[in-house]
Amino acid sequence: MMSSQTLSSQSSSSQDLTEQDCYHCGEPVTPALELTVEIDQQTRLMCCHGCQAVAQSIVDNGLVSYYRLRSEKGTQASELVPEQLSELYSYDIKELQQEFVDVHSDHNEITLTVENVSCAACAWLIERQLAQLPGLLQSNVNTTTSRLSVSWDDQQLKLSTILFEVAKVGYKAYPFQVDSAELHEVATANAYLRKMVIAGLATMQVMMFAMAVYFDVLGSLSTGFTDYFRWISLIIVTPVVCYCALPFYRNALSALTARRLNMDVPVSLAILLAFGASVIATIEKSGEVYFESVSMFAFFLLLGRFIEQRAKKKASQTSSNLFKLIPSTALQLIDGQTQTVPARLLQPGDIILAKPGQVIAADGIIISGTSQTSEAILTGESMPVAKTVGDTVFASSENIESPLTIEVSCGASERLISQIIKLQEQAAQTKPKLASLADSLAQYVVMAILVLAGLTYIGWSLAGSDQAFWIALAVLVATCPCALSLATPSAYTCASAAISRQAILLRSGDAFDALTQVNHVCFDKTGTLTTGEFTINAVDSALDKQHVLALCAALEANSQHPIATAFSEHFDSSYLASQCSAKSGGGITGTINGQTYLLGSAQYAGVKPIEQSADHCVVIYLSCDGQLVASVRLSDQIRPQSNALIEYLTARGITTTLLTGDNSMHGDYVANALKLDHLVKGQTPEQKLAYLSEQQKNGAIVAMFGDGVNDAPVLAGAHLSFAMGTGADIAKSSADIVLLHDDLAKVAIAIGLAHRVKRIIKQNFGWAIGYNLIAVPFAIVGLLPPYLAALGMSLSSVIVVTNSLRLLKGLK
Amino acid sequence: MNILLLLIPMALVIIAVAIWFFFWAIKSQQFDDLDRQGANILFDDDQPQQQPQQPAKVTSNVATPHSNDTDPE
Repeated sequence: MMSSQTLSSQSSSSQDLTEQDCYHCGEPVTPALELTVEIDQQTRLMCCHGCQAVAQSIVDNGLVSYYRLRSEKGTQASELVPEQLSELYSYDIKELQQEFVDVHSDHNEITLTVENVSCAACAWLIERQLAQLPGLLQSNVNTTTSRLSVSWDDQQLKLSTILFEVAKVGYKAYPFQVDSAELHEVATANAYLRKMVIAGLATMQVMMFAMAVYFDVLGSLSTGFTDYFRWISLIIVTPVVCYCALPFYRNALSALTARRLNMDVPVSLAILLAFGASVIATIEKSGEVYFESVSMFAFFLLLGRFIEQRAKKKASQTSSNLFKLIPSTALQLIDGQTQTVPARLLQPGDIILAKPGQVIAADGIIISGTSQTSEAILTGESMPVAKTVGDTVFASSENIESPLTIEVSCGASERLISQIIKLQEQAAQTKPKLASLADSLAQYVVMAILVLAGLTYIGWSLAGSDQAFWIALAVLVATCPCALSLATPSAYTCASAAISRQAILLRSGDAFDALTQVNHVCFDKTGTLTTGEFTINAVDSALDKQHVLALCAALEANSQHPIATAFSEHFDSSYLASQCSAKSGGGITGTINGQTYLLGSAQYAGVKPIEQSADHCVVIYLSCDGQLVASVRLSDQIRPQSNALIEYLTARGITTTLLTGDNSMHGDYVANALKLDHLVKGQTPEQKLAYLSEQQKNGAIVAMFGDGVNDAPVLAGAHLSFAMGTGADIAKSSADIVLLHDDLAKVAIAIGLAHRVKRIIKQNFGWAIGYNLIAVPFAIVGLLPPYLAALGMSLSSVIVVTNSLRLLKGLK
Repeated sequence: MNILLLLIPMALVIIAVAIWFFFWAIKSQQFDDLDRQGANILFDDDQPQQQPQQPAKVTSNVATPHSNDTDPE
């Protein structure tokens, strides 16, 4: 097995797969399955039914060139189960479609996010698959953003059919919620691109005329021609100054009105003064013009801004793709008939039905049925809660065991989850902002530049020089606001690129600053420090362990309880349970190979409970004819990376706190096992937020880790927040950083990178200022004409950018 | 050398046209997916069984699709 995996990774580029690898996805094949598909007159092995179905449909639709032209392997496909299919159909409900479909008079349009689109071949495959549908008007896959835009005729084609066709070739497409920041970032990136191109074209033209005049290439130029060139240059550079450089003026103004200084202040001054003086020189036909310096200066600055903006745009698009719109529907009972309706339209008094395994659509009171619900996402409690007639259930919790009939008790806006969202919005507004290192450094440097330029002008004027203005301008340009203004954005851009390769999504640019300043970290328990799923810790039995686990797995195969998934890997088809029945909150019983087994709590199994141990596991008992067969300990286990992360943080002198909604002893166990400094348990979202603000009031810079809905307000209010990629959408949208693969070990990498960013920024400032110290004396004594100053400035910028590019290395 | 008086303004007009085209390209989302279009030429209509059926127009996302291409009526 090992060798075939290594082989496949070596040969993946050439696509010559070994016999043992799936031709579609490259995963190792289980020979016993004997799944094959005929592709290009060759029989190819497949690893699973999902891949086989996908490959077959690719072949059947004549899309085999996908295999010839793809540059990366497909991802392992899974067959759609009936629940997923019915979920697809709910996308056709008109009331739900309003949220994500653009309805035009003769066609509908939608933009979907598609998972795992990795190369041009994927895009082609999806477009081709859709093109065969009658009623499809247009489809386009963008591989940069992983999005598919489709327009179709609603009379002939259903949205669910489109989603289903995409699924047939092995991709999952979802409508998604466009991040509020995305539209702004995309528009800004396009605006910078336009401005940069104009500035670039203008620079080339003006440079041409300037060179002609400087080096006198046209032979003895008449004054008439020199004037002509100046006027033409003036015309070309005017749009650069009046249009391209607008963002600099705007930033400078907003800084000045807030009584601060930023890099855009000297930039705007340099551009406006140099341009103004050149215009005067052109009109009066005397003195020097520096149109080319102005234009080149603006171009280089815009180039830097554009690259920075492109990174922001990419981050906001990736972030939007995370927020999939899964339709929230409910089975409403109307006159004894069930009907699928959108959850947000439910009114108090409506009766809904929640099947086992379904997410409850609204807050309400149970009117019939007894079951257990998992409220982990709302409260952080890892164990399911028993519910019976008269109990309150909450929207977003999951019904586990048996069907419930629920009377809706409040409208969509008064649900518990809506209240948590409101709290999150309030917290987000009061989120404290940390002063960034770059801003405070720039503040001093800019002040020094302005004072120096001003003094130079006064000094030379007093000395009676008519060149005083140009010398002061040279000081302004030579102090290289360009390198200084690139110092931080270039470092941030490179660092974001490096960090995105680590499956870390940076949703806010300020996160790097906060990462180096954090001195208190709070963690949620369930789903963050722990996996949020039950796993088997130990089996205590006189019999063979495999045998016992297979018995349990056979029984649990009939249960929806979260504990049941822990046994699924031990399922053995030679053990089959019949006549199974489950008792809510008790356990499950069934007959295996003629013997009746009971699996569940000690009371249910009819045995004496063993002593509770210190690790606060859940213990379940397997009994047969009143005799104890085995006891199995399960727990919501601590993630393997948690320990290393806490050690790393403690070693750096950072206080750690477990801030959990769970009130059980499991919190104590986790806090002790990981050696966390503090434990605060049984907290509601309001209490969590109150704890956070108290810490922040005492001067702590707090980072919060969380995954559930109940963590969202704290995540929104913390200086810095991390959400797990598998967490609730609202947690992710509140966080500054999303750990896409739930890998806590990446946090140490991010902190390390943030410290490197800090160092690089300091170096960049050091270089830019060091260059100034050398260039400025020449400029002050008037030995540096502005065009040489501009050239030196560009070189200095190149060095700064090259230094920042080092951030891309070292992290793979 | 006086020809420059004519040629340079002409050059300016050409630059203006180039900028107009560039703006148009940005607006019609030509720069949205730079990774893919280079490889696109490899995927031309090379399946005989696809020929009779006119495929849906596969272009960048222009606001008004030409629905006539695929409309059966």
